[in-house]
Amino acid sequence: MRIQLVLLLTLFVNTAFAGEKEIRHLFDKYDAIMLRQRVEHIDSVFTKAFLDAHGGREEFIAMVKELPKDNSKSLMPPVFSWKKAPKEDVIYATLKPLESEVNFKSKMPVNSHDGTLFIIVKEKGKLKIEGTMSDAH
Amino acid sequence: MSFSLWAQESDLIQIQSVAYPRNQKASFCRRPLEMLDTVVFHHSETPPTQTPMQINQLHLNRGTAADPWYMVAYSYQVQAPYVGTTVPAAGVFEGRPLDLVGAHAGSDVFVPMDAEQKRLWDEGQILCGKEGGEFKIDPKQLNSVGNIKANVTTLGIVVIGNYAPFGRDNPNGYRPSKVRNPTAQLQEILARTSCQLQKKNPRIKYIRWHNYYHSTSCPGNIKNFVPQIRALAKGYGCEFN
Repeated sequence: MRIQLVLLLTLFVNTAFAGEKEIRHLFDKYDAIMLRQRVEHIDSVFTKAFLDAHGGREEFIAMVKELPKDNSKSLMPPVFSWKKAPKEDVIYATLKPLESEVNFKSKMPVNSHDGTLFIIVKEKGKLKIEGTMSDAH
Repeated sequence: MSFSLWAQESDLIQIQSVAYPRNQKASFCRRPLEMLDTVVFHHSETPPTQTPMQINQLHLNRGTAADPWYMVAYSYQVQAPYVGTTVPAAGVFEGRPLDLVGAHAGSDVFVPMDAEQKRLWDEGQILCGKEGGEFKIDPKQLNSVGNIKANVTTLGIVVIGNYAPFGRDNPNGYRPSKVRNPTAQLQEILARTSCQLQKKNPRIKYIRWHNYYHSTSCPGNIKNFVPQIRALAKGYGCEFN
């Protein structure tokens, strides 16, 4: 009985960890796109529905190319928190602003942003970003 | 089905009803309409083609087993096309009923009460509970200095769409070279909807926006057009600060 319990707990912890690891990997690639214009990751980061809502893949790439690119600093691991939606196969993850974007005097992000709430879904077995939403509450 | 808030005027905005699913396990608070004094503008941050029903589903999903969400957090939802597009058709939809406290300004944001609001609170007219259960006064609606949660005295109007610039913090935003402002039609809708609410309830005297209360990019450039929206509302006989 005790062995079964330990096995179950191990399975639970591993599953939870695998989820977090996959989300971290997703946001690593997300930051590579948005901060370094590494657009080769786009199909593995965003759902087709997301790209279609932005006029398609090429239009989205054009938007990314308009962002400032900064190769001078190494990419820090993104800071996020996440939770699974209770009824559907959806994950909500809040991505915090970059440290460089925080005004340390006021402790507030310079763009007045607490963090972005991402909607993450599985597409063909892989976690991908479906969109964002304003975090009301 | 639709109904009118301001039936005697030809400028009436039709508010469309939506039969939203609700989470009966979630608690919520009831309030008399006299508690309301402020309209708060939001944007959903989603594409404009999302439907009010989809926003409701997103909010139901936002809850957890320990803290479930009752239904859409806003009192009204507005659909409107961006500049140069025709989809979606413009429309105003009911959200969470006005006599239920919304969940939009920030759950940790508190505001002072005027004498009337304080009287309503002291009389125990703001009650919280679950469907089918007992409703009670919830002391957590007040902070230590007697201010009340902003959600209790405000109502949220969300524009479905994204009016902030594209970037790491906002991948649904507008292309930096193509600034997205609310169209004249959207400004008109927000002005007329706010005015209708004030005609119905003259205690509503303020128009604010999400990041007036809370650190967020919401509602993007809609915030910059609040003076124009107030001026448009004045044209319909309404005064907002």
